[in-house]
Amino acid sequence: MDGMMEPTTARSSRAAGGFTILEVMIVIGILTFGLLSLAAMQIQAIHGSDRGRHMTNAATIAENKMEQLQQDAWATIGVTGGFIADPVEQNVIQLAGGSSSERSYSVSYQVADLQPTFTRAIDVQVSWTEEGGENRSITLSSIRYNREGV
Amino acid sequence: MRNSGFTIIELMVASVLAAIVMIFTLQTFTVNNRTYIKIDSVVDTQQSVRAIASILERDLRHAGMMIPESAAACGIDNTDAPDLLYISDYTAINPAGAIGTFDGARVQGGVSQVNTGGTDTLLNLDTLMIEPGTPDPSYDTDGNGVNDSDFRVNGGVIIVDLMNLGRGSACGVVTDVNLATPSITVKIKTAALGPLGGASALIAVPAIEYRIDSNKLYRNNLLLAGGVEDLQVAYFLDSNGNNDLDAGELYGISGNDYLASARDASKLRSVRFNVVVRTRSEDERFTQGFFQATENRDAGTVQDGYRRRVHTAVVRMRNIGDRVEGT
Repeated sequence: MDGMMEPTTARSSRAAGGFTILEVMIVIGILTFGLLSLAAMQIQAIHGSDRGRHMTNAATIAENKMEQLQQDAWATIGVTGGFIADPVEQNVIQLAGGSSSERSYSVSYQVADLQPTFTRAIDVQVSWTEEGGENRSITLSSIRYNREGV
Repeated sequence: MRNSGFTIIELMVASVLAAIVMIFTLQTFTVNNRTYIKIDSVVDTQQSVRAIASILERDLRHAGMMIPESAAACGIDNTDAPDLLYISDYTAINPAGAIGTFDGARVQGGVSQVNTGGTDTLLNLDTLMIEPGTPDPSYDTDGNGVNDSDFRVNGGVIIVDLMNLGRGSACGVVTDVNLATPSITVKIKTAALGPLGGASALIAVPAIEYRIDSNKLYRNNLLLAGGVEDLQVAYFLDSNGNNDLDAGELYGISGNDYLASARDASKLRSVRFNVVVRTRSEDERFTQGFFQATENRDAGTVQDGYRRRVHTAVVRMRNIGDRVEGT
């Protein structure tokens, strides 16, 4: 029996020898790298959805401010000469054990004459800081017509 | 020797290593799954809150279109339950056909007050279609293929006194439409109109009803979204007509409740609404949630496992306040 097996074993002794520890370690290394990047991708995705939510919140706040400026009296929304700050909006979801402020959004707006006594340009800017310290902002622009005719 | 297989030691070491790797993999999988469920339910909540807000905002922007301004909007301001909101139904009017405003449907028979308290009241009207010339679009209430009425069952209705706008408005739902009489049966949900000062001219205007029942939001009795805990509305009524929001002009907020029968809606300049939506199911690992306070409704005291989103939006009334007629 031994004699019959001998040639086969001898021929493929190198191939059937399995992996060396070095090979296995390299494979594990590559695998770990791949898995870690997958995990990083996951975290990135969560951050991405957070960023999206913040942008939505900021846009809503900007729209609300714009609606208010569109509705205010013509005399009230005088030309501002640059952005002026409004009270900071807190996006609050209350949790047990005190309010939990999700994020603070600073609101500012500017009004400039387009066609004096007829139209004014309104810009509303909302800015906030992301988790990692990145500053982001969104600006909404619109035109206000002097519908009161003053 | 080379073909003798693994030793028991080798096998044990390999199994222990494999077990460790498996435990970590499983843990990652569990955490991933948990995060997925959490994010999925929160995203779902956000989607419905945005969808609701977009429909509600569109309806509010149209409030008062081509009907008397005082019949533009009406509501019930609750401090221990969701608010009810009625917005004049712009889908019943075709703006291309005519310019101007229509006086709604006049209530016949010298009626100067409407029954309240949820009882059905029969109102005989001069017409069921408030556009006299080109009565389109309207609804086919008897299903014969011909549109016949601007009022429809389960739709809302707003009633005002054109001769006494200070009597405010009353609103409720239509429970029956009779094409022959013509008449509608309505269930008024607000208080009665304010005190009568002289002759009256009651009119009825078709409206869109927003109502929350068992955490479900209905628009004209059609389900819009589930998991909606609250709708709280604040009304800016410009009493002194200066277009600016002065102290005491915002109603429906804490300390200044809104009463439809005491307010002339032609003074309405903007509406702020808050929609509170919660996740489909409770997260057993999250216990800090509780009912959110908005406007004149207090926060809940019981903690639960629901995550919530609050959407607050301000909508300027496009069709009120700029008219020359003053109706």
